[in-house]
Amino acid sequence: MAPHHMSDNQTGDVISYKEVNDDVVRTMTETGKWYYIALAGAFSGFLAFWILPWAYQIYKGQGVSGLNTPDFWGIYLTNFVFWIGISHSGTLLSAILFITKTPWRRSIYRSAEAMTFFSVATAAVFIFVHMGRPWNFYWTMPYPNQRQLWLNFQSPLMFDVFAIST
Amino acid sequence: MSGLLERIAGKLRSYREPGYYTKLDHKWTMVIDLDKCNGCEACVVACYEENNLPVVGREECEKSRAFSWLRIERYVEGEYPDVKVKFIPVMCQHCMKAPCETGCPVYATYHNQDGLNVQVYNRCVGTFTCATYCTYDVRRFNWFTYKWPKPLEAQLNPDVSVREMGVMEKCTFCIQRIRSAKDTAKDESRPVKDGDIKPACSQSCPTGAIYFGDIQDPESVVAKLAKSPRRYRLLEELNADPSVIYLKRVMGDGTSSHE
Repeated sequence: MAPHHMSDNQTGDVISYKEVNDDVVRTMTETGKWYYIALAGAFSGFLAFWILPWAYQIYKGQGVSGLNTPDFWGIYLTNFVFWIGISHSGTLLSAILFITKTPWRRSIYRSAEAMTFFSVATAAVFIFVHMGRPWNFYWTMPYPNQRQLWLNFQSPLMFDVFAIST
Repeated sequence: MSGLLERIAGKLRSYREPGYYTKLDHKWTMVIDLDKCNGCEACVVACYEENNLPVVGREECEKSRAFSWLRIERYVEGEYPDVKVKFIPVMCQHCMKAPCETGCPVYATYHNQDGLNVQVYNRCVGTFTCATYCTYDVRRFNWFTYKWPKPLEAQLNPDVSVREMGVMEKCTFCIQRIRSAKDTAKDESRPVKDGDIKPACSQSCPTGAIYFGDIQDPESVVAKLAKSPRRYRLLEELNADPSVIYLKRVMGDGTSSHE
């Protein structure tokens, strides 16, 4: 009998702490087949549903998006507002818990702020997709430039830029 | 040297004088007499020719992506034998308190010292904000980079840029003609006379329903017509202060249109 046995399993074999530990950390040391399949799936989905359609839209023009003349603010801006709303809710959740000094808040606001972070990133994607000339996106950034122009801080679209970048 | 510095300082001071942003050099105004308008759409065609507007074809028109900066709104009243048809040409109204100007994040659309609402194509990043805010639905977007088939490219107006995809555009009151008239006036060292400038729509109107001029000059035709009792402006209650003035059409039975 091993000196540091923990318990017997159903077959009656004895497993040591080392074996338990190896089982737990195995996902960190070796990667299985399904991991690569899932990764490939995620990347091809990323390519098929974002990069390729967006490249097509940039190449052809905004006309392929299905937006029309009176309805310029369509699915892209709606999605942007949706995701930025979700990110605000995550910030609100962690802020309320922080203000009330709740002792059990850490596990909650870890996930709430993760939600905030990833949904802001998703919202940023939709701003770029929405723009007619996304390669000029840096024109919406306030920095001293040789173009001698400054931004219109009255504009709600400017608020969007700050909502994303801060 | 000190004279030059004095001149620069004077120029800088003049920017800070109260009223610099509201006092305009000119206030270009268009007066459209609806009594004379018969809805022939010659103005629309002239606008296409003058401003290099692409003809997008039937499929795109069905998606309501027709490119006309100037459109004729039709109002039909009554059943077949007694039909009353009314027309209103609607182009960019060059509002003095324009909603589109507050919306643009990059100042691609702004008001210049001529009282015009100007669109800078090179500055536009295509966020659609101006078009969404526009009350009159007159802004047009370059959904694609439009191409002219081979012989037709020769008819493009060299005074007007051809826009690429992703920028917004709209009626400019034929700003290229305003500029050239001002240049000519400057060469002859005189102020711009009333009647020097005729936008393409005004020039082509067979009945002469469209008048154009500076309303700040009390002797101009538009200033006189603007005092007419038939005067009204589109959606005036929204207080955007549009620069296009319409004169009501008086119908045969004495009633006037668009009340």
